[in-house]
Amino acid sequence: MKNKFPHHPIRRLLLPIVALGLFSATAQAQTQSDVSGAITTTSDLAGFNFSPGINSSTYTTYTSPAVRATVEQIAAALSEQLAGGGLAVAATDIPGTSIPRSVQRALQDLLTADANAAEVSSQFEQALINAPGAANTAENTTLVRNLTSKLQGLIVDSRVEALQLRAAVEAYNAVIDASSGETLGSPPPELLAIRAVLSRLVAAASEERK
Amino acid sequence: MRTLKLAIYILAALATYNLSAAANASPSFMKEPDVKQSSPQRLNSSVLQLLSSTPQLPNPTNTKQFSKRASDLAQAATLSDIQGNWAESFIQALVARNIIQGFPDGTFRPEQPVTRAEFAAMLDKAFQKNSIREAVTFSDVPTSYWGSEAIQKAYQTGFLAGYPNNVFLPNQNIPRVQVLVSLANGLGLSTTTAPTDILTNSFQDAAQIPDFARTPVAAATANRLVVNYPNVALLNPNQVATRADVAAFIYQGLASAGTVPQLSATDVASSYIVGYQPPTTTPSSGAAPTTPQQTEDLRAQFRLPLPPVIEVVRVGVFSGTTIASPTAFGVQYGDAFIGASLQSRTRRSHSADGTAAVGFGLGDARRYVGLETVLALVDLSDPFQDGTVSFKLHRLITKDFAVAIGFENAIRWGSPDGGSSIYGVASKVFTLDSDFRNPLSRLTVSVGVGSDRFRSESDIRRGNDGANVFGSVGLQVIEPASLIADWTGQDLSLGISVIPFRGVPLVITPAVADVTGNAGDGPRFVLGAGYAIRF
Repeated sequence: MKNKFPHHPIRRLLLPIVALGLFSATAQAQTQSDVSGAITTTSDLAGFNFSPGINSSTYTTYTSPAVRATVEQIAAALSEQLAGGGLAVAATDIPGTSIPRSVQRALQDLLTADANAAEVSSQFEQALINAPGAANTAENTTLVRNLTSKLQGLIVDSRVEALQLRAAVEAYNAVIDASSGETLGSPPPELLAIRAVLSRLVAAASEERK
Repeated sequence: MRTLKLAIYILAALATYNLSAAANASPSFMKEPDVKQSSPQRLNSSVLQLLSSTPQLPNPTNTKQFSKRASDLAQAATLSDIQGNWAESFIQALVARNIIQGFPDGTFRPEQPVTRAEFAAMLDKAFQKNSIREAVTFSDVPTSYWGSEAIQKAYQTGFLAGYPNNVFLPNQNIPRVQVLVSLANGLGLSTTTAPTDILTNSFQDAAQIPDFARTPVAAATANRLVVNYPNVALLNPNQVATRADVAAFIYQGLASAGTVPQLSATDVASSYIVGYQPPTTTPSSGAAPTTPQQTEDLRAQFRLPLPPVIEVVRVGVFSGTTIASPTAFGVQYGDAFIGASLQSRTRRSHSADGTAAVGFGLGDARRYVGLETVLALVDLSDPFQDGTVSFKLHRLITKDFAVAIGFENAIRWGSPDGGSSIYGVASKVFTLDSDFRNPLSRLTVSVGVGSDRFRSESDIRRGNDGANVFGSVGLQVIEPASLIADWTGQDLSLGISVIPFRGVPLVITPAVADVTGNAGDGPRFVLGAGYAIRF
């Protein structure tokens, strides 16, 4: 049986296995009852539970349930203040400044994604884009619109998602970093209102674990 | 009486509308310079400026159109006893808004006391607040009383409360401290500074403030509602409030809410406002530019820190993605499983059949390869008499894509009713929603080629060797359940795989094999059950 079997090492290893399989095939019964039901020759019988990389998901949240509860309480209080026109500015370094009630109500509509959120979003955008000293550039417009989009629906039923709050603060800081000294020296009430809300929510989310 | 009430409603509505219109007018109205840049004269010019900034109102110089608002303006300009009064600016502004009115004889009587009912009526016209509590019946305020509705509204909106035993004392002269408490409570004012600090620093007579009033008065002070005449440092809390006092307090309340502009620094009345600070300058094209350092300082002042957050990894328990065909995923070192399969009847027979299995893993499918070894006992009536051992070598290419080669029933003892098969398979998970708790979160597709039991039915019948394609699709419809379609090479199986107990890795997979009757003698019920073990 000269050269009947190939001499390649891999083929030498595989050949007996294949031969075993072929031999087994010729020895089977007709019903194949042992292989025609639910599979019992692999771990698939136990479901898709052996791939931890895909059998898990990651989500972002506050540092503790207590912090989340505090944030929600503050969010509820802010909604009431905005509705009643009682929102105070965040900083005591802006004396004598109040936020018009119309601005507060508009902000509430934006934060709660009210039916007219798109309209008030445009109102806020125009106020920030046209603020004295604001750069009339496409980049500035983009930053402002990003901020209003992140604020829209930030507070829904007093719930504030951690990731969305973080994104809103990032967008707000981006607008601040692009603002001129003239704008920040006499900030429009819309900016003050946004700052007042975000600063309180951030303060609530920054409380230490209890 | 009904007619009078209706007239009051209409007047209040007009006042409210005008007030709202003024408040929501063009930005130029809300910005301070319009007031600041006005000449430091009587408020008449400022009032007319407000009028000109409110487009809905007629031109006051047009004598042919003399609206109610113009009439109010005219009244404000002609009240005979407020000229030169310390509160003239406050009074003029509120009269112009119809929040407070003069008497028919053309006087205002600024030193006259104000009753609680009169104050409630002023609140009704000045502030539009939502109700925060249910109405209550005051025993001394019949519905026929002229101020009954204003009193109820003041109560429901939180501005005023009654006395014990549900009395309101509507004709009682209201003390200054009560006015301030009322405004602070109704407007929801607060302060972060300790009340004692505010009161002792602001008023020489702070000790006279009743205990119940200290916190709200402190809040009113911090928000610059308090106006003290003639001595700004003397609150005189228990002194009866005059019409001038109330006009000043209400105006400051409106200013704190942004409804009216703050008085300019050149207005005499501003010198009596406790804690008064001039309105902030609105920048204009002529404003002095800031230095780069000043700008950066402002930015640093305005920036907010990012809220601290954490990432939580949630590991789930998942149902199966196949019924009778292998996938490319498998156990590795530290994993094991046990399970069983039941057929209501086998092909071309009426006999039920069952198989038990146990398996474990070696290796690391993510870094190298994983080796899965499974022992199956195919005759439950006499375990260990007939059995097989199968192997699967699998590799995770990415976290959601794997490939494997397998040798099913590589080792056989006794008389198992099934041959040995070699196969290769690839599996891919399509994540439809990153949160697997949501419906329709993932779709798993497996496709392979195998010999022997994977051959077509016709090849099996004819005894032909060869290979054939098999595959399965599993859709996770909800977190604990998946729908499965499985082609074994000969027949199509449809089934569902479920996790009956949340968090417990027990998987039950009932299915119907050969739904199309392509192999054997028609559909058969099969059931698989497996329990995943991770050490």
